[in-house]
Amino acid sequence: MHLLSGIRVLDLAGAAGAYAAKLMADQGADVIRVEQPSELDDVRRLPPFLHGQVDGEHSLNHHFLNTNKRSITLNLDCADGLDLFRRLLATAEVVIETSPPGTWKTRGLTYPEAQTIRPSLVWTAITPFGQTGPYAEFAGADIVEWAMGGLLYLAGYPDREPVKPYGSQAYTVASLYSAVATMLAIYHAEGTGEGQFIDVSIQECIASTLENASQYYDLEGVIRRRRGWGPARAGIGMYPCQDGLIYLHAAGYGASQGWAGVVRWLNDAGIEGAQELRKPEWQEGGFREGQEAQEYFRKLFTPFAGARTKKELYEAAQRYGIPVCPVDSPADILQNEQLRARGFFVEATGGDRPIVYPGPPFLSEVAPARAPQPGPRLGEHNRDIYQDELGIAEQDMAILKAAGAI
Amino acid sequence: MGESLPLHGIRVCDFSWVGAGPLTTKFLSEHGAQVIRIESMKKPDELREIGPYPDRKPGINRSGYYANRNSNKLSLQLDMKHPRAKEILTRLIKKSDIVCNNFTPGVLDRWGFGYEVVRSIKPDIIYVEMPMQGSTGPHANSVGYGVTLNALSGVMGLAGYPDRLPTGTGTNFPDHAANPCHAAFAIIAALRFRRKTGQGQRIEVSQLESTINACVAIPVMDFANNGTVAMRSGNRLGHAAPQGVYRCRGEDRWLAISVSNDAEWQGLRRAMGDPAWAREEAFSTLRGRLEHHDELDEYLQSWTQQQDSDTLMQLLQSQGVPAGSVRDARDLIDTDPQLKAREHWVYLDHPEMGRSVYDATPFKLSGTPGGPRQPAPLLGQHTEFVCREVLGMGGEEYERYLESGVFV
Repeated sequence: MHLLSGIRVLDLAGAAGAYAAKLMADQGADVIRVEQPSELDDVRRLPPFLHGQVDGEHSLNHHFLNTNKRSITLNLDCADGLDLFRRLLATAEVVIETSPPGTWKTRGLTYPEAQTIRPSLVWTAITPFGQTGPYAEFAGADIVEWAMGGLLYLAGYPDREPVKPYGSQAYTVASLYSAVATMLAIYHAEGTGEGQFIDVSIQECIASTLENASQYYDLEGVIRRRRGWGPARAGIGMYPCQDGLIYLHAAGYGASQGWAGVVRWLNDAGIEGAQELRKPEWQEGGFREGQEAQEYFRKLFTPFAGARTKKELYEAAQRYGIPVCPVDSPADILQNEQLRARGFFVEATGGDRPIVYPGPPFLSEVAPARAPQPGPRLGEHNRDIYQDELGIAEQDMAILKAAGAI
Repeated sequence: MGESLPLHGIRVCDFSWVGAGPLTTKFLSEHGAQVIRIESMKKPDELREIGPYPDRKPGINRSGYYANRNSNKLSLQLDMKHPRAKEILTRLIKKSDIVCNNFTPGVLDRWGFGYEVVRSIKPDIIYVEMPMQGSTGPHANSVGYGVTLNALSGVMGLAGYPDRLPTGTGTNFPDHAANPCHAAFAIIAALRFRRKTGQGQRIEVSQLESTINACVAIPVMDFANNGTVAMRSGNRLGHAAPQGVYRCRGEDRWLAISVSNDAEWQGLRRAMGDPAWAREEAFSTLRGRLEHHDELDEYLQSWTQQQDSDTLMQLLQSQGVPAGSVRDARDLIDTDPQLKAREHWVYLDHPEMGRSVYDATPFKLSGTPGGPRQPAPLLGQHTEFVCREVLGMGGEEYERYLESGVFV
C-alpha cells in the first residue's frame, strides 16, 4: 500500500497546478488527467521537449508533471461531456483544476452540485488571484503572480530591474501549497465524510514566501529591497573560485557557529591578515555589516577562494561546520556525489527511450513512492475508464466521439 | 472553532527551528494540531535573534521573523542536556502523534531520542526528519540555510541576468515553499496512512532532494536526457514575448508583462493605441517577437516609463493582457486591494510585540477555514500548561521539576 492508495483525483490542472496532482500520483493516488480533446493544454505544449521532438507527447513538463497519471479526453464545454464528468465525479475523492473563476458556472456545474453527487468531494481551484476580490478576473502569468505577490521585488541587482528565477516558480509554489491544502481536506473528508471547496490564490501563496519582508515593513517601516546575491555582511557572499562560484553564508546569527568556523578555517590555512578576524569586534554581527569589515573580508577571502576548487572549498567548509555550497548548474547536479550515493536519479522505461528523472521529494520507509511512469499519451486510458469502468458501450463511444465529447 | 479543524486532536512534539521546520509545523498548527515547540534559552531558535523587532528593540520574544512562522504554537522550555529532560520528553512523546526536527542528522540520537527509541515509547509515532541533504551519504552532516540550498540545487545559478553573476531569489527560497510543503504533505499523508493501517513511520525530507524535485526538475532532466544546459535568462521565458519587467513612473516602480499568444499581443497593441512600431511585420508572430525581443523591450519601456504601473496594469488587463505591478511589502500590506478583499493580512496581539502582522493561510478551505489565531509563543510561555494539562503533572511535581533547573 502507498501513502495515498485508494484516492482518486480528477486532474484538470494546467501548468499552475499539475505538480500538486503529481505529488499525489507519485504517492499512489489514482490520478486521471482529464484533457480537452480539441486543444493541447499548456503542460503538453511547453518547451523544452524530449529528444528534440516538438509535439504534444514529448514535452518534458508533461513527462515530469504527469508521472504515474492516466489520461482521458473529455470536452467539458458540451452537455454530453459534462454528463460524463458527473459520472466520473461520483467515483472521485478530489478535483484539482486551474480554470479562471466563473468557468464552471458557465459550463453549468458548480461545486454545490458536485457535492450533491459526492458529498465528501474535495475541489481544489487554483487561480492567479483567487475566486473573489477586484482582481479575480485578471489574466495571470507566472511572472505576473511572482510580481504581484512581492517576491520579484526582492531579487536582482539594485541598479537593474528586479529579476525572477528560472522557469515557472510561482506555479510550483502554488502547486506545493495546494497539495498541502488538498491533503488537509482529504484527511478531514475521510474522517468526517465532509468535502469542501479550496480557493487557492497564487498571489497569496507568493506573498506567504517573503521571508521577513512583510514584518520588516509592519514593525520597522522598512521596505526590504533587492541586494544582488545577498545581504551585505562580512562572511556572506558569492565568490569566484578556480572552476566556478561558491556561496558562503557564515551568517553568525544567534547560536550559529558559522562565523567562528570561518575564523578558524582561514587561520588554520595561514591566510595573511586572518588573525585580525579573531579580534572581539569581529565577533559582532553589527561590526561585520560595516563597509570596512565587508571590504576587509572580501579582500582576504577572494584570493583564498580563487586559488581553490569548488569541491575543495565545499568539503573543507563542512569540516569547519560552515555553510558553503558550490553554485551548481544542472550538469553539476547530475554529478553531485551525495545525490549519486543516495541513488537519487532514476531511469524510467516505458516511453520510446528511457527517461532520467530526479527522485522523490521525501522518503517513507513503509510506503515508498511509486517509480516514475512517464506521462500518458493523450487519451491513452479512454477505454479503461469509459468502457471498462463506466460501462459505456462501444457504439455509444463512437457517438460520443463523433459529437466531440471524447 | 479549533475543534472542527482537520487536525484537531493531533499533537506535535516539535524540535524544528529556523526556516523550513517551523514553516512545516505552522501548516499543522493553523489547521487544528496542537504543536508544542521544544525550546531552550541555552540555544534559542536563531530567528528569535534576527529582526525585525517592534520599535527596532531586539528581544528574545520580539522578532517578527520568528513570530510569523510560529503562530498558534505552544512553547515548552526544556534544556535537553539536563538529566531530567528525558523524563519529561518521554512523557510528551507518549502523548504525541508526530515528532518533527530539522537538525543535522544525529542530534536527536545524541539526546537519546532517535527513531528506534521514540518508536519504542510510542509505536505508531510519525517521526519526521528534515536534514539538509538526507541522513545518509558523504555529505549527510553538512550544515546550511535555504540560501546555500539555493546554490547547491541550481536555483541560484539559474536565477539572474545572463550577463551578470547569479542573484538567486533574494531569499532563503526553499525554506518557504518546497521544503515545508513537501514535509507537511508527507506528514498529513502519513497520518492518513496511520488511520488506514495503524502503522506509524519515519519520514525523511532531504531538503536538497526536495528542492531539486520541485524547483529545477525540468533543467536537470533537460541536461540528463537532452544534453542541453539551461542558462540564466533574466525575466524571459522561451515561449512568451514580450515578457519582462518594465520601468514605470516613480522611484523603483515596475510592471511585469507577459504576452504568450497573438490574442494577447493584439490586446497589448490596443492598450498602447496601436503605435506604428507595433504594426511592424517582425512583431506579428510569437516567433518574430521572440527574435526581436530586445527591440520590443525598448519600445515597451519607452511607453511604460512615464506612466503609473497600476494604471497600466488596469489598462492592459482590460484588454486581456497578463500584467501586474511589482509589489513591495508596503504595497502589499497598505494598498493592494486584492489582498485586502481576501483578508490576507491577519493582525494578532502579542504580549511583548503588541499588534503585528501575520500571513493568513494562502488557501481558503470552505468548510474548515484555518489560519493564525494565536500569536507566536514567548519562549517557555506554555511550560507549565504543557506539564500540567498535557502531561498531567500535579502542582508539586511541576515545582520539583522547576527547581531542578530543567526548564531553562
